[in-house]
Amino acid sequence: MKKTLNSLLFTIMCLATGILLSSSEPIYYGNYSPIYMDRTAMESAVKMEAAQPLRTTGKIYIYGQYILVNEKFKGIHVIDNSNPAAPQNIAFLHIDGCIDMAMKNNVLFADNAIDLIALKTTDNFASVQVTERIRNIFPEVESPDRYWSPYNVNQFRPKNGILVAWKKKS
Amino acid sequence: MKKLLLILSLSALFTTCGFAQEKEIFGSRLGIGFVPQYTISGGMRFDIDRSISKTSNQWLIFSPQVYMLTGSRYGHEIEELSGLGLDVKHKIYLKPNSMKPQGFYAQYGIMFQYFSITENREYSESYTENGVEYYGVEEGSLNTKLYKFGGNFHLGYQWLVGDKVYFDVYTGAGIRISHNNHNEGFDTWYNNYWVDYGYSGTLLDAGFRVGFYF
Repeated sequence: MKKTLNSLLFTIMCLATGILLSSSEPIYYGNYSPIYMDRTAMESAVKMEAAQPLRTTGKIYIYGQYILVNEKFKGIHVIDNSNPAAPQNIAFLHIDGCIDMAMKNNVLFADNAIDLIALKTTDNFASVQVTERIRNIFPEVESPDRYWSPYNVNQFRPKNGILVAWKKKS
Repeated sequence: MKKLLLILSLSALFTTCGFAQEKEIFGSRLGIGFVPQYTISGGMRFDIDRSISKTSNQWLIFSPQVYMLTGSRYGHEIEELSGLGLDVKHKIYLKPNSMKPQGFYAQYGIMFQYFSITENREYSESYTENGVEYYGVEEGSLNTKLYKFGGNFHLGYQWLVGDKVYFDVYTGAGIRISHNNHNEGFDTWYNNYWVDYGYSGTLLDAGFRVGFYF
């Protein structure tokens, strides 16, 4: 009887201590915040756009007379390098969540956040068409400063939302 | 555990069948109590104990709660919190030959809580860029309304000091399901810990209360 009572009191003390310890400081999420898109919107947003200035660039890929420059999490700049003395920024291929690409036989392979897509391009990059999409093949990109756990990322995720980018907080 | 289940089963049988042996009587059929640990969450809980049988030691416990809080709690910087709650429990003392509300008991019940919380916090919000819709995480003051439902099962022990004052400790398990007025489905922002205002899931519960019968 006394042993049971002692156990009961001990359990209560442990739980009470847990409550007090959990009254901790606010959670710090680091210097970056996630950007999400609805899957349907992400898939339909892949398109060729007018040339844009280079801002936060990543990988560079040479394909024939063209230089492809990744704009991190946004897409790919297409630069016509037929005249190396005066390269021309001719177009921007909008692919959300894109950080890598490769090209062969006029087919561009790129990551569209967690998907791998294949795009058939015309010779002059005037138009592109998504010919293949393999969904959910890549893991979501971690926050650059690694403050965000998967749990925290999911705290803000909208329904059917896919993480496509990390934005530095102002 | 098997022994405990056996005791519970036998006690329930004896109490419902009106065991023929003479019982130790208890005059009061109404009690009022206070549950101090609720102040940690910014709440005040009062318990109203009402005897529901003249022949068996069973009680109904109504536990209305009010919450008001500002400041840091469970990882949140709360600007303003207000809330209401109600627990209803059926309490059965395990000693069959006494009407006195003392000794080991088992209780089960349901609970509901409502919270309105204003907090300077991070939250997701949609915006459009070049005709494409994105969801970013913004920081600002946001009001969230939370609705929490659940149930509990407790085992406990209650002492009587004289015939009026009681001191009660209990522990057990429970389940909580929380909804909020922002995201579809379950809230996660207020689901950091099992004591958090928007917790969903199972939990180990424990507490103590003091009060008196009149």
